[in-house]
Amino acid sequence: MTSAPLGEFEQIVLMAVVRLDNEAYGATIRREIEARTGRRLSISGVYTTLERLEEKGHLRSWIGEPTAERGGRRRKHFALLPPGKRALRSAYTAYTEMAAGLERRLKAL
Amino acid sequence: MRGAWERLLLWMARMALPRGEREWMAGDLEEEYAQLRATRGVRAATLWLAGETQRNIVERVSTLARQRKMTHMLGRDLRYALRLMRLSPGFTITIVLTLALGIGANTAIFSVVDALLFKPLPYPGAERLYSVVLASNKPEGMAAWPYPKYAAFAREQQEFDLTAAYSNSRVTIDTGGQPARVEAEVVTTSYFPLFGANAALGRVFTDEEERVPARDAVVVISDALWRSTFGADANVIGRALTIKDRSYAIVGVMPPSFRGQSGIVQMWLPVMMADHFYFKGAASGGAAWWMRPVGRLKAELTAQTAAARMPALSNRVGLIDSSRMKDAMRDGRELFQLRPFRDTKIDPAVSRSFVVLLAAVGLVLIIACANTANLLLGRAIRRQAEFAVRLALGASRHDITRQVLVESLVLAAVAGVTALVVARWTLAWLVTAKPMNVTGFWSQYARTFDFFDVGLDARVAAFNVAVALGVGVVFGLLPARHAARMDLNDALKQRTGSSRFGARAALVLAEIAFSVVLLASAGLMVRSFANATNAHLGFEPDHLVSMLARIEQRKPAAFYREWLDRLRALPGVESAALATMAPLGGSSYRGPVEVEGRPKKEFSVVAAVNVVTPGFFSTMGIKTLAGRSFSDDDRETSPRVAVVSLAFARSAWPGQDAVGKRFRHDYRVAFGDAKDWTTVVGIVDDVVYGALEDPNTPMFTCPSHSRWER
Repeated sequence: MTSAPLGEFEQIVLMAVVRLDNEAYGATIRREIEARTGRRLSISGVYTTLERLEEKGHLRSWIGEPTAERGGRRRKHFALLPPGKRALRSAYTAYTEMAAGLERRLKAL
Repeated sequence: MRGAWERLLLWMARMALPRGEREWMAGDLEEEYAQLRATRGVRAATLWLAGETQRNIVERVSTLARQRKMTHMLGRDLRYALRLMRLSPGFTITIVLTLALGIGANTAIFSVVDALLFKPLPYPGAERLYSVVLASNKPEGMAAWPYPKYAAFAREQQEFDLTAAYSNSRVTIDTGGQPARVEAEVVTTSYFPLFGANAALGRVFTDEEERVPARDAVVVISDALWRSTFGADANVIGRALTIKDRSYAIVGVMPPSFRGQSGIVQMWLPVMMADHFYFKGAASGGAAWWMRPVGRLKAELTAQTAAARMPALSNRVGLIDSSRMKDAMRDGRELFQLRPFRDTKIDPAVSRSFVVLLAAVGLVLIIACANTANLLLGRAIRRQAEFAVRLALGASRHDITRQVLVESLVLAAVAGVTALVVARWTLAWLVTAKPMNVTGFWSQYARTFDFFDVGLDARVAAFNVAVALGVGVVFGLLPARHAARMDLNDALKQRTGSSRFGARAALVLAEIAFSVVLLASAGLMVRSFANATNAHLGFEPDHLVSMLARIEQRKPAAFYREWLDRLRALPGVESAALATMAPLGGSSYRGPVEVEGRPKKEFSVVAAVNVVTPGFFSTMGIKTLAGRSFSDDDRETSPRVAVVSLAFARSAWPGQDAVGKRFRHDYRVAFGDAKDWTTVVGIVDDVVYGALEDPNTPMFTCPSHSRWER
């Protein structure tokens, strides 16, 4: 299956999902991205992207158990599917290949 | 513990989330908010929440628009509207403030009306709670009964799941420091379960504590008293406080949400203890008519069925009841009647005035809308060239309408949010503006407001949003129609037609018409207020200061005498006197009076009584119309004398001179059981002791020795 290359924000979201592993759900993904990139994100903005990735077949989601700290509401967890993994790897490869040897000059920009 | 404001913000943030995904997104929101609040404080968390709400709204609007392929246009309209707002700040601020005042006043008054008229009482089965009153010559009936009568009723009845009775009392407590006067509620054991209340610490009263008069000296205290007097001591259970030289054990602390029927109760006492802290026989005898019975009707009974069974129940209870009825209550009128309990909480006068107020602020909002519409219409006329160019470049008339509507909606939305601030201030003022020591409307107002938690909540916020959106459409429609219907040719040539002025003239006319209505009503209100302040009070309120003191001493006479002497010695004090009752101070003892030479059954005056020190009438500026007032010669050993009011004299001895006539009264608390005749020595002007609108009650005044020098 070939699909359009991932957008920049899609890559960031997918990497957050990889990084968080079993703990990947809306709040943690948003916090992870905010903490690492300093970007202000809205919860619904993150979900918009997550849903798009799900529609493209990159992610799957499942509903967890309700917890008290969330006012008895359930979590929606996310995990990568093989197409998502492939797309993220190809994006990463393209990026690192293009950036190879340019590290110093890129930082100086 | 989260405040109403926080809950409101959270609710708004949740409502901004898309419906299908709301559960987990709201869960995330809750989780993150709680975390931020714990780590960085309420302020930071609230700011984040406000930002998040705004971001979510933008996201949601653009998602919705994208789904309908309108993102481009709506987004552009939105951006354009915001730019327009920034470009003319004066215009924007005028409109936003005008609308915010209108919407805010409506939101505030609505939240009061909502609490008074629509919200259920916070009790289990609240809609089945009924007060039981005795039919009497007053339309509202007798709501307060002697305890033994209530007890007989509670035993005999089969119509209610549960019944209870309560009464208000003020009690002086001593906790080792300063003695303090506290608002107490005297209750039966069933009171707490009936109102679904349980102690936060310790327990409420037991059945055993409602058996023997003056045996079980226990109290339950309010959260407020627990915090203020006992420093929120977790080991307060088992500590004691002193009432009338007797130690009462604290057995429970109520949660902060439960503040009794008046909304300001600080302490609950078992009814049986009334024989100690009130007077002997208050609970066990039939003299004190003070307990108010309430019951929760059985689910299978309708109010009509239950009401139909009341006469039979009244007869059964009447046969076994040990308390005797007073004269005014005889003649077979001792009949139980049911009144929805809610009606006893809400004074019709208070809710009526708020409904009137809601209509008034509604009118203000309409005027604000008309005004805003006019301003926007003016701007739309100035922008004709712009619209014409847009139309000429291919925009549809629909596009122009939408754009103008979006502009007005954005203005309304900003005004709606500002209005929440206005509403909050207005409410804070409404809730705290409770003048004390005023009777009539204001005391009922204070009672109602104490009981109901009037505040901004989800329903009120929904109302606010609905009003703001409605307002946005209402004042936006006219300019939008105008913009869409203009003649392109004329506009491009900068020709002005005459039709547009028709709409503006109509708006101005409407504004003027509504303003006249509002001004006229306001004028009438000011006149009633002026009438109230000019009402015949019967005394001179200028430079008069009153204060209230309750001193619990065995022999208070010496204290009072010294107090009065010291008061009179103060520079600036012309004269001073003591009285059991101050004008406009509210109710007092009222009882039948027997007039000499008339059969007791056939004729009696129901009169109020006041007990005063010599100098009271001159201090108050109350005119003596005939005879004399009191002097230091009116001693305990001298014959009983009284000064009566004009209304008393007229109803007891119509057409005759009352001075020198005699009557007999039953004011036992002050005069023991003596049944001597009292001689009228003077007649004074009628004084308003209760509410202004009350007719003057017959009244007699006795010299103070009988009360304070025993």
